[in-house]
Amino acid sequence: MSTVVNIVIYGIIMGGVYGLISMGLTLQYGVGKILNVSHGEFLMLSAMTSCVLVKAGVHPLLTFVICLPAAFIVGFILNMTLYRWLRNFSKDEATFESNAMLMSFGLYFILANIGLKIWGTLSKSYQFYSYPVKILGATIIVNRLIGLGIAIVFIIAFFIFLNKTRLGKAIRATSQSTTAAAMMGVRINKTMAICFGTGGLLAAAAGILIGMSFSPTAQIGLTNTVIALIVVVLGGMGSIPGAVLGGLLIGLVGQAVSFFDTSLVTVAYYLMIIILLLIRPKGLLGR
Amino acid sequence: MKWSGLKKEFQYIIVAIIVIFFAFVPLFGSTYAITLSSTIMMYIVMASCWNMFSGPAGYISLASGAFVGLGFYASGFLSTRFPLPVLMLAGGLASLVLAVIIGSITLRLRGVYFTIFTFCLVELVKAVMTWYEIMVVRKRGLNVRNFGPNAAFYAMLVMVVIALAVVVIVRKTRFGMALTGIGESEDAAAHIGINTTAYKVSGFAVTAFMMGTVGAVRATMLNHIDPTSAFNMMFSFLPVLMCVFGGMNTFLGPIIGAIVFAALQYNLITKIPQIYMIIFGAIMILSILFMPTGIVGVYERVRKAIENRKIQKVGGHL
Amino acid sequence: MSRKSLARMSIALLLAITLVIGLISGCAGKTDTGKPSESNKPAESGKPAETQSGEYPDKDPNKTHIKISAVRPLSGANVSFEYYNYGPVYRMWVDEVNAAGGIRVKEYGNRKLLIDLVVYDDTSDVGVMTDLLIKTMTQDNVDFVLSPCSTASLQAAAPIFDQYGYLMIGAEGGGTDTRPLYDQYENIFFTTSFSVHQVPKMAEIFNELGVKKVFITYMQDAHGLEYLGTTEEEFPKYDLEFEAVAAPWDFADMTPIITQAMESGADAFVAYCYPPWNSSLISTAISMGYNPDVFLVGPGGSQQSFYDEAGGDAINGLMFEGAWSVNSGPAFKDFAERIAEYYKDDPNWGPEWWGTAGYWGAMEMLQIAIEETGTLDNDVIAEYLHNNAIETSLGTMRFENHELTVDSWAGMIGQYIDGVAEVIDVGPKRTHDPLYPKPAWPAK
Repeated sequence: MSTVVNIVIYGIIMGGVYGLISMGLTLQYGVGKILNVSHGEFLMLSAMTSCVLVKAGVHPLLTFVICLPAAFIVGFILNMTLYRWLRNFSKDEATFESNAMLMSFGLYFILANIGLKIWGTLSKSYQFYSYPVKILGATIIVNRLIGLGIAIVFIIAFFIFLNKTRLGKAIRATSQSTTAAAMMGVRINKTMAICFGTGGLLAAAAGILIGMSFSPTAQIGLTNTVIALIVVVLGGMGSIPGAVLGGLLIGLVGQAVSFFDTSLVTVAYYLMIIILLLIRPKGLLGR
Repeated sequence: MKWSGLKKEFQYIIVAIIVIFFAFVPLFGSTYAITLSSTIMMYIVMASCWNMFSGPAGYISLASGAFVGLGFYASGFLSTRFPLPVLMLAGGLASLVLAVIIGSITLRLRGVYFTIFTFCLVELVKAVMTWYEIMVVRKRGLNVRNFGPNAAFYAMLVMVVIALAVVVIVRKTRFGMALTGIGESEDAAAHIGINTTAYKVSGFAVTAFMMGTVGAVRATMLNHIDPTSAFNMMFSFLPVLMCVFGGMNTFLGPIIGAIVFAALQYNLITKIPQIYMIIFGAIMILSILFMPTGIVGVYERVRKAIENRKIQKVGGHL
Repeated sequence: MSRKSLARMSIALLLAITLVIGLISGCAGKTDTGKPSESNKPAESGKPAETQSGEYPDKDPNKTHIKISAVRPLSGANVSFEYYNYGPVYRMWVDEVNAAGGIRVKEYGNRKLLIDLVVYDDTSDVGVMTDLLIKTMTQDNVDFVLSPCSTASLQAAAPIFDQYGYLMIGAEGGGTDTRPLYDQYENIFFTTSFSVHQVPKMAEIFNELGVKKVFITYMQDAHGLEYLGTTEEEFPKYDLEFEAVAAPWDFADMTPIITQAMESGADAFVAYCYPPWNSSLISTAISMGYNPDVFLVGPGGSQQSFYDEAGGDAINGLMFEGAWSVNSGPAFKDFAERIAEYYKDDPNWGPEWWGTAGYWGAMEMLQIAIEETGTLDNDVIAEYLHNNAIETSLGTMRFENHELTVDSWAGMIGQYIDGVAEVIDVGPKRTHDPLYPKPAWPAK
């Protein structure tokens, strides 16, 4: 019984973080048609930076104020320059999509190696609300719960942003049809840049949560990109609720499998994807 | 697939010169020249074969790492008992089987889904192989017999010739046209009676076979392999990058891209070691941005520009 | 297409091909210089080319440098090994030797030759590593080649060193997996202590301290399984009970592992893991208030910066695999101070207490072997290294069956006591009594 409780609780905690990472990726793809393979590197840079800042005496929650805008600005500028140029050069949407993905591989190499250059492979960690509590017989460290709480706040805030604000509506319109949105007076380039920046911001938020609960290194980027890709395919490309649902699923499956044989977690993820692709290629909530 | 504006015969001559040049390396080159040429030829095979399928069909595959890795392991398991050609065949067949299985499941995925899947496939095969080594054999990695630099060199040379022949045959036959048709509009291709799935799977499988064979040869150059060195993501990225760099969807592009890129890589790595990977990323971004049609495309554009000017001049005289 | 444009095109393409050929030959060269040349070989007997006392013939009066190269992970996944472990050692060794005027080599007229060091980047990729090894061995006309990094790389590199007639010495890596290589390749030397050296000492210490039960978590990889295997052999000798659980393969929460450890009631917690698993386990144990009497971590734990990063004084009493200490003797203290001085401008760098002393000893052994044999011939030097105990500044060191003997090391198991890495092996190598039980993590 306590095993089941453990799996469920830790699954939900991991799922919240995975959902947050994947939401950013799915947003970048859904609106800008950019499959950003360097997504995990935003997370890595933010996680490492926040750890360094906390070591330097900054309050962990204050690092959100520093890392998130930074990630947003980097993403915004990248989209306003590189991806906008690429969009202008590309002859059609399909070409842009594949070239944008290849370009993000280039970004991945740059960002990942900058991280390695600065921090090497040493792991960073700090203590923040690190004491255990018992919930239904399972032992949980409080900062994991804080992390889950923050993730949920971000997810809800993001849904409100998308559905209630003008900008959010513009984003949704753009994701449905760029041309139609442009005719409605949406400034496409700016909207897309905001989406890309927001994607980076969400990754950065997840990065800080990972820095809070775990010991990140400069090498966690690609692992998290792969997880986010799996989650996004599972949930449906471009579907925000799908990302949250997929994140939860992957979190639960990962915990359950690692209970039996930890080395089979990755295998289990891919088997899930293969099965899903056979049954429902567009993902659980894909359109 | 386009012939990039160059006369076919002319392209054949260039390729023949390149192959003959490589063939003469062991006669006057050093051991390192032989090793480096083998590495470059491996990339020529990988890039050309990747381009043969992914170029016209528009399915960007990042599974190369998995196929090369299977070739590695075929070598690892068999090298003590069998000669090199058997290893190559085994590596090729292992990759072919994987490609047929994976292809028939995933090639109905369109666009980015397919890419993600193949991207993850490398990690999956790596995870399975790691699990197998750790939990079943309880020993990480395998020692591979080294047949010497010359054996690996000639094996690679043969593979280059075969790969280029396959590429030419594929593009000249119905096969290539079907792949192009799929790339242009899959629904239309299916509508006019092309069995798209069969063509896609077999194209993917041929690519995989070639990659498996060069992987088997490459493994013998490394002496020792483990899942990290075998299922290396760089094997997935580099062929794509070389095609982008040289000119995707052309015959010469991947060959020139592979040669220039690999030669550049091994030159830069010794000159500016620590920031090489960062520069590598920058080159990738810049070549996608400014040379979307690659080196071959740049040449073509320059030539067209010159011709246009000439026409204008002629027009001016009239 | 007109004939004229065809001609222009062919010129352009010929130019392009020339460029490509130039590029290849630029990095490949045309001549195979091979090993430092046969003439380097001393007189038939393989003895130093010393003919009459006090008089040394000079083989090449123009030679001013001993050329040494290395193919090392300057970038990529293994970069921290180069940064913390072997990198500092060989770089400082070269600088110190050069500052002292070089190494005296009898066959070059008993002149002092400076060291010329070339380091290539293998990007942590075994394929690039093997290609570049062949490059440096056949093109650069080097006298010695230092080892690449990691066990997998060493396994791939050993045949190449053997084929081109170089001896392989130094560097991180080696274990039970590399032992089969000893029969095949004569001139390879491993300078990292590993499971079969460390685990028996660990068992001895646990036995002395009165540890009854050990909880082990291990990585499901070569390292973890090797250590677990040795543990299965060694612990029963002292009737040590143990329980082993695999650490999660992916980046994940360590709470379940620590919970299991708490439930097991073990006195000692041992993690055969790398960072970030190590540091994750430590911070989770702190969070959960899990205070075993012994907390021991694997690779990474031997880095001072790991200790500082993972908590510093808060994790006082952390044990690690290793080990040497500034208190192992005046020479060790001096060495530690010199290397700290060497890196004083780099705030991220910190000393490493596992292999560093061994690597340094190996470099000195190489230097002494060159001076004693009076030659740069790798075979002769390798034979000298195989057969002689060598008096280095860090004590007498000796290779036996291609590995440094256990006696050559300053220790096998270390513990941070009040911020200082100490050796706690049972016996004369101990620099400080073990802090047992480990002080509790500070309350929050």
